[in-house]
Amino acid sequence: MGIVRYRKWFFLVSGLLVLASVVTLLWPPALKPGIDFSGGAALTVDFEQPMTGAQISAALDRIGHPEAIVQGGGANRFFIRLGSLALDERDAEGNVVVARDETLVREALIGLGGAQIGAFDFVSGVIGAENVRNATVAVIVASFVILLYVTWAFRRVPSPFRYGTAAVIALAHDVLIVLGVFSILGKLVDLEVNAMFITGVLATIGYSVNDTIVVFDRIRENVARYPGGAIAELVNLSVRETVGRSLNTSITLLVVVATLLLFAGPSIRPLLYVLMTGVIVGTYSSIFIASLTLVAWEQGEIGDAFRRIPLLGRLRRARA
Amino acid sequence: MLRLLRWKSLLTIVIIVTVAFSSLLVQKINLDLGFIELRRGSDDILGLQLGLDLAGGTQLIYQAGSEDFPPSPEQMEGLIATITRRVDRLGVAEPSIQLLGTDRLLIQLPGVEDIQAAKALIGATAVLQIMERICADGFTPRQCSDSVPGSYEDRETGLDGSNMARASAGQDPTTGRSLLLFELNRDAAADFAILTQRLFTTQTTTPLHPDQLAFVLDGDTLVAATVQSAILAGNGQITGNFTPEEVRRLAIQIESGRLPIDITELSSSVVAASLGAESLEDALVAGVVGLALVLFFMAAYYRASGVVAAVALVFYTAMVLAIFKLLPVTLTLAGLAGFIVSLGMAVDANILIFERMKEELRIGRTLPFAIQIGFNRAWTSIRDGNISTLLIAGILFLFGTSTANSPVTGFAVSLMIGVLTSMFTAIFISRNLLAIVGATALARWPQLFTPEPLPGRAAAPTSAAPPAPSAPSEGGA
Repeated sequence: MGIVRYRKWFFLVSGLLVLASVVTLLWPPALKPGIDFSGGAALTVDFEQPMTGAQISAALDRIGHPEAIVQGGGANRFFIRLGSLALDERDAEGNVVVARDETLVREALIGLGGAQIGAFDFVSGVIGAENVRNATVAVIVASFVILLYVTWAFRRVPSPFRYGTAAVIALAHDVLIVLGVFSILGKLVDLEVNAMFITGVLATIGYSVNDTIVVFDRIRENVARYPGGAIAELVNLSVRETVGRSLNTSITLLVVVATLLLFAGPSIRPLLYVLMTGVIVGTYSSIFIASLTLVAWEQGEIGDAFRRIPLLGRLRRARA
Repeated sequence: MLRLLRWKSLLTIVIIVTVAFSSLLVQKINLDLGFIELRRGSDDILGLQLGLDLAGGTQLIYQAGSEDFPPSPEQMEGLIATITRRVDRLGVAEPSIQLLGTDRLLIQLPGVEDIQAAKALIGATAVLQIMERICADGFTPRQCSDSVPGSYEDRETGLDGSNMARASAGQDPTTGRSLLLFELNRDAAADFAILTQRLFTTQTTTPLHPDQLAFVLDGDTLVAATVQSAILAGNGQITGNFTPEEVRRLAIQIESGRLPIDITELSSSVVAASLGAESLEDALVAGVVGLALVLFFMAAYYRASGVVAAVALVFYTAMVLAIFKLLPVTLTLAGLAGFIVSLGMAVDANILIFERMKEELRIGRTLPFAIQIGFNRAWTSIRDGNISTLLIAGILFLFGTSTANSPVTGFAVSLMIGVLTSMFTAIFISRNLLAIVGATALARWPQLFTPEPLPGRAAAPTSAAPPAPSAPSEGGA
């Protein structure tokens, strides 16, 4: 019977992972927002002479930015993150009247010795708040669209809605765990999420659904081929038949992402981390969670589980 | 018949791939076939259009007006015209100034690294002046213009944008010609009457080069006209060989100088060209190494099928990049990431097909048959999986473009192009190439096309394997 027999264990593992993710997400800050979401500024600076992060932090502290996070990027390159950035005041002709952070930060860094500012990004709080809202809506809309699409794609099998729901459960499982991993990384190593992080989460959704569909497609085929077969056995067979493909695809993707991680700059690194986590979790969930949810549902175990909760069971009996 | 079909598809593949490769190798495409004109390419790698993060440059997003005073579409148009004029003066090669939503501006200035100077230029309030223009000796009114330095001298009149009440486009009721209508505030009408009276007098004293009335915005002449009569009521009209569109634009620009809207910086970003070049180089190395690893894995694991897939994936990469160049799509780091994800999808489609082929070969089918069944069986999951990814890319695109120019848009666009191309590659290129290879003598050794040992042939080394029981042309019918 293979994996289907051990489904309770997989549910338990996933349940614990999801629970841990929810707990860490409820513990503020859920995710450490980068400038795309909180507003602020980010700089990439190259110095001509050897420099330490502490020297840069001290210089920024003197002009009123004790919150600055300075990370080394090798060969006298530093990535600097400021919580906020006061823009220079300009007159009608566009000339600077009162120099604020915009100029002060540049001057402080140049004052340290031969700073070359390679990149300087500023995002206002207005845009940050909008990005948060858009990202949330995008993830919710994407989940809903996927539910509808999978239900429609599997319209020819009995109870297609269950396929759609199981795909969305697997998807929610993946998104929660990926967010949980980043919540923990944010708390431990100050890993920030940016707009590309959201892109990664949505790519994870895409990947997870694609993977789930491959397994479901095989179930759909086997259900048609062996009418009257026990669903548990058909799912088991389908998973066994698709597991090679799932692993090969994930491995190739992981290889590509890992290569990019070795070379790519800081702006897309969060995206690559998400893709990596997402591919691993997505592969796991398509093999175990999506298909096993389907089995549990088809065998009425989901209802049983709810009835086993004391209060719910009593309510149900009372209504009957 | 079957053979003919296959040769036709091989020819189609050759044509598509040739077009893809040659459009990438020709740095600048300059095609004029009369009915279609195609000009694409740049000085960057493969002639691709690189985004600011890879080529270096400045990007600014401004909010115009405020929630309480939202700008009108005409005001936004005027603002865009004003900023375009100023940026042109800065000498930026290919500036882009776009409206985001209804009240935001996205300004992209490739190659501009002095963001402070760019802000000073863009953030300045538009200044509209009404000038008395005296053409230099020897210049007719038609000849004295901004393009001929020293052809005129402007005298201040004490009137400027703040004295204007409105400007609009109109039409002469009898001749139907386009007119620019303008009106001054009531308290400026008297001064304007004196000015126009004076200008009108020069018309009669020196009819060959009379002085003119000029509307000057930020030092650029919008329009200069000879006065035909004194304007006493403060409202006048300018006639000329204007098209209705020219008059409309003039009116909008005068309005933008009359009532400048405040703009607030929402976000800005500057990337030095050197850093952009570094990112591009890193991304290229990563891309080439990643692609090589995948190709190697495919060929090592799936053997001959993998080699075919590797060739198809190289074609796929060329096709996607060619589409980027021809549409054109501006390539950013986020776009490259989208391309990588779609490359994953393309690999996946091949893996799905090969795994199915493997199963068919396992139960003893001949190679051509296994190829055909493998494709058919894999197709439904390739289709459904790709459609769901397309849906998600579409959602990303909608939310990425709405109000701010986020990198998400670039990711979504390249993911969409990549997924569509990968479907095409899997069902047309991989399939036909494999069918062609399967029709050659190689088909005698199905072992070459699957990673697992086949029943009854496992022990024998591949080179000594007995010929397949059936002729290769039997399958695929």
